[in-house]
Amino acid sequence: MAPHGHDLVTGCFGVVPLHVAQHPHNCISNNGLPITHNSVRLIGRYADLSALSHPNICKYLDVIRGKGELVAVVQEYHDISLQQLISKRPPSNLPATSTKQIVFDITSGLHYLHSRGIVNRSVTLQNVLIERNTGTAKLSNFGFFYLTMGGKAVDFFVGDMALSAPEVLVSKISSTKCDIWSLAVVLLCLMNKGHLVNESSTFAGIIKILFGGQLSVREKCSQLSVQLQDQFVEFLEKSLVIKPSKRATAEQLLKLDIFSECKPGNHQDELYPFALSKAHLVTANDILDESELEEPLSRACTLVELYELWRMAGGDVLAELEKFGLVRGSIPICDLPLVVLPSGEIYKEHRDNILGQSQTLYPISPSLIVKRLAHVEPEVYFPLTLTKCKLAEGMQDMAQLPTVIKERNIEYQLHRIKLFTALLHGYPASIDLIRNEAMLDVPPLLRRYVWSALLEVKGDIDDYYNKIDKTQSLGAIDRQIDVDIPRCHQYNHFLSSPTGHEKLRRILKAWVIDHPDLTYWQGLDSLAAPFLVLHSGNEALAYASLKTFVRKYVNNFFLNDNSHVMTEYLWVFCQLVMFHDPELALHLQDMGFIPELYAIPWFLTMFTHVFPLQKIFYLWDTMLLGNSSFPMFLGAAVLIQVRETLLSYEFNECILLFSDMPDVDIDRVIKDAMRMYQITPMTLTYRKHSYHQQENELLPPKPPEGGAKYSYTFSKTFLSEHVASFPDTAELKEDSCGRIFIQDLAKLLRYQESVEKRGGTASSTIVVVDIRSQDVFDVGHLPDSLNVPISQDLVTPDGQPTSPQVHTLLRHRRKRDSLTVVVGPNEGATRKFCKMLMGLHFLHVARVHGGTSALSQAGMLCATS
Amino acid sequence: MSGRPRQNGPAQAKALQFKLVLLGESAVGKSSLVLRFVKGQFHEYQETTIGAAFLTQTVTVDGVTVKFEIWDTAGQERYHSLAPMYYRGAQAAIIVYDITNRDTFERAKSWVKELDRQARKDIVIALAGNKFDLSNKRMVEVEEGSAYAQEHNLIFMETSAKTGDNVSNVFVEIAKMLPKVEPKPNNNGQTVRIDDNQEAQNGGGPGCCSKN
Repeated sequence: MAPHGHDLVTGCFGVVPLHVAQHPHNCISNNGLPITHNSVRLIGRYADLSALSHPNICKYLDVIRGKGELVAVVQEYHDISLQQLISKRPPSNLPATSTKQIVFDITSGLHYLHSRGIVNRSVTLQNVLIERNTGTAKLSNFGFFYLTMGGKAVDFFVGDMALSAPEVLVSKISSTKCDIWSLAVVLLCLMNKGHLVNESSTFAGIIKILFGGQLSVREKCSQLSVQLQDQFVEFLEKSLVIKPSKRATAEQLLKLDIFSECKPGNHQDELYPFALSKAHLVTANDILDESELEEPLSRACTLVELYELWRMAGGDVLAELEKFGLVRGSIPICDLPLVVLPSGEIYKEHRDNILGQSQTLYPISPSLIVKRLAHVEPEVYFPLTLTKCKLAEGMQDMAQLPTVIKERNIEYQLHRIKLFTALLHGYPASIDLIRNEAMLDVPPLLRRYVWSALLEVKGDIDDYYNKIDKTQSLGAIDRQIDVDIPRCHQYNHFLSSPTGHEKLRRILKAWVIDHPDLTYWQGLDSLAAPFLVLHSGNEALAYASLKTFVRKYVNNFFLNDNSHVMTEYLWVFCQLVMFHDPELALHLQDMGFIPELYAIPWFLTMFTHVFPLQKIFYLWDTMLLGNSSFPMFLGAAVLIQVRETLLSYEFNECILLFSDMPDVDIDRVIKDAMRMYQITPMTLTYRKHSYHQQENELLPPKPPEGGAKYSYTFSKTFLSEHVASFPDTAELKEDSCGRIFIQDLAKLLRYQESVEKRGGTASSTIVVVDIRSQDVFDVGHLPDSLNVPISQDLVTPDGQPTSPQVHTLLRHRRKRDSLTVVVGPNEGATRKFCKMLMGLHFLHVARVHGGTSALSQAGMLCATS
Repeated sequence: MSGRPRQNGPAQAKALQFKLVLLGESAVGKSSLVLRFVKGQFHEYQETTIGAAFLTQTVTVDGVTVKFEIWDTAGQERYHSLAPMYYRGAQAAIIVYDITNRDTFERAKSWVKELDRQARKDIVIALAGNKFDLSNKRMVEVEEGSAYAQEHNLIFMETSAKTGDNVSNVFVEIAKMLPKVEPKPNNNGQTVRIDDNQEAQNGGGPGCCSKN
């Protein structure tokens, strides 16, 4: 929450253009790969900055790579700096703040940064901004030294030399202690109401006094004509110390008596309760301030949300820079080299870096979105998730539109962001509501948290992750990870940066160490990539999400020997395709175009190896809502989308088609997969080797109310034996037709019955075909089942059905909404009958596992009345 | 669909088809060699191969057009169990190592041994020491590769997928060594057979030299 409102007119975020140093042309690193551009390195390092949040630092919002090694860094903006505050004409309407409080604020901000290992080195009067309403001081531009790898990526000095600590100027050593020195000099400036002066007023003169080891603080002040306030003497004695080792830390300074009455700033971060910690205890901030209702956009939106909305509305940071005249449209011809040596060295016109040296923050006004959101009711900003959780009118139609359109509608996104934020704060209790809402769509801004919620990540994830020793050697696996990482989604700037590589390596190693029974397979890197990109600033949450994801969807794929797991998975996938498109499945089967040849990268990496990340985001938004078999439906939907092509192709063409994934329409894949998922009996995709977390999918249905026709109760022993008798892969592969469990059949029949009772029509009609001979059938069978004995031909030579039952059966052949379930007396007969139905391209055929004997044991058969 | 020429046009009717498999440790440049040979391209950050990839390309030697059906396999040792599926029945193999990495040369040797044991007896094998462009970082001398190849009767070349050096030469040399008679269908020449029980009797078996 932003209790004090953002300035939507002047701007609440700003951009700093930064020209980073260019590498000489054609430079190659040790491993033969081109050297990473400095701009890409910066983007990698930005990840850690983006995660920082504290009341006394300005939030980093984005980093964008422009042409010619220009990097635009977007961050929180306030229009008054400390420099202006102490100038001769300070801005009016500012709440009175004491110098003491300002120094306290800066020290608090530094303490926070130092605790995260970040050296600021740019503590200057310009880089401390003052929040208008509260007078709080906030560090701005604090990340440049960190971003630029200690200044290595830029050709200019980071910081202000006049404020730099002795060790920085003398030996270029920069530790957190150099910030303390700068802070002390800033304090001198504050007391002096401006820059430091001495009689000669030269830089050297001032430095000489400041660095004077023999001078006391008081003497230094008097020589610099600073009006020393007594209260700061102790502070300065501890901070204005030449030797870094003797200089106090920010933490020590905060404990000084002078600050005993200072208040730490109020602040609430976008923290969601994935890991339980004190931060989630309700603070006074959670209580709604009525003023928020008056200007909700400025008061009830976080900066991150505002920036996201502005960007969605078409806001373009680079275009803003151009408005300020900061990006010169350079003519391409100017980029031609002046001299090219035979060795390949190139000399170009020297690019002047003056623009990049100022570190000036240029404000961006979000006025673009203000008008468009002016009419939004205040309630939207404070959704009541427990009493009503639905979209406002006018937004409901919007929800049905394609994702790309929804993502560009900022009003819709505002609704969604606010709703999901509220729901996420209630996680894990709100998990069902989150699931329901995610069915509609997931707002990109909150995708990372929504995913972690859908994966039910919880527990002390930071502690868990930190406890894994990621430094231990893994031998051959280390080598494999090392060669795989520089090839993993390298079109993504973050993943191609050294920081991205380092983080991915740590996460992969952590996973391998954390799973002694599993191992690293090529492909795990791709699988980790989406989580790392989303949680680039939070490795522990990225890791926790990956861990739960792998367990749910690809668990045993990472066994040392995964062949049985893979074979079973791919065979069940074939059965699923057969169930939904027998014509296509048979064509592929006849050609020998088996999934082993094309689908291993699909499923082992859950499509991350075949689709770019942007498509993966949409695909997984839906996949995470489904069970561990859902990916098979996505695979089937891909095949079915290109079915006409496949049907017309020979083997070689088919294999070539999938060597590079064809350009499939992801929205359609998702829709088709959803549709198939909804009409497929749950247990058709059962696999022995899948992760069985949700045992309840295999549990008996609840006892029905009143004497329904299909009211069965199964004993637990029967069910577990029934499930345990599911065949091994070798036997499973005898069947092209998938099998369902008896309790699944009972559930479907009862569902159909209950719908019919209410006078409705079930979404699919179930036809149970009993293939035993009529006399056995008459002794006992499932009510309403069709008797089509296997011994009998289905049609006469002239194509007429041989019995009324056959006639009924044949009517269901191509019906999109019917499910044909075969029950037989033994494997051979059932297999043969199913094969015949497949040959006739019957849609949606399944066989009951265990056949009629299982039905009989379960007491589901009754005699003809 | 993919913009590649259709493979079964009448113009190609005379082409002899051969199944070729690429083997070797991961990140030695198998996919890059194929990409250079088939599309004339090179990607610095070539993605890893999972399972295997399939591509085709034709070369003409001595007036005969030879069409390679190339199976580019995954390099990681774990994917080893899939390898027989691809080299079974292959008429040619390129075993690739990275001249800047000794271990990959050792791995190449073990592939030679495996093919000796498991592949067709008449398989033509080429040993390719890739990344020739990085020869200043070389860890395997050219003489060593060459001597090993001679000893085992392999075609030998140092290649660079990055610059294109020797890449098509390897394929041409292989094509020269291959028999110039149409391999019989439904024999060992069948391109892919994963499961011996399955569809083996089907004449139009997978990828066997298109008769149409």
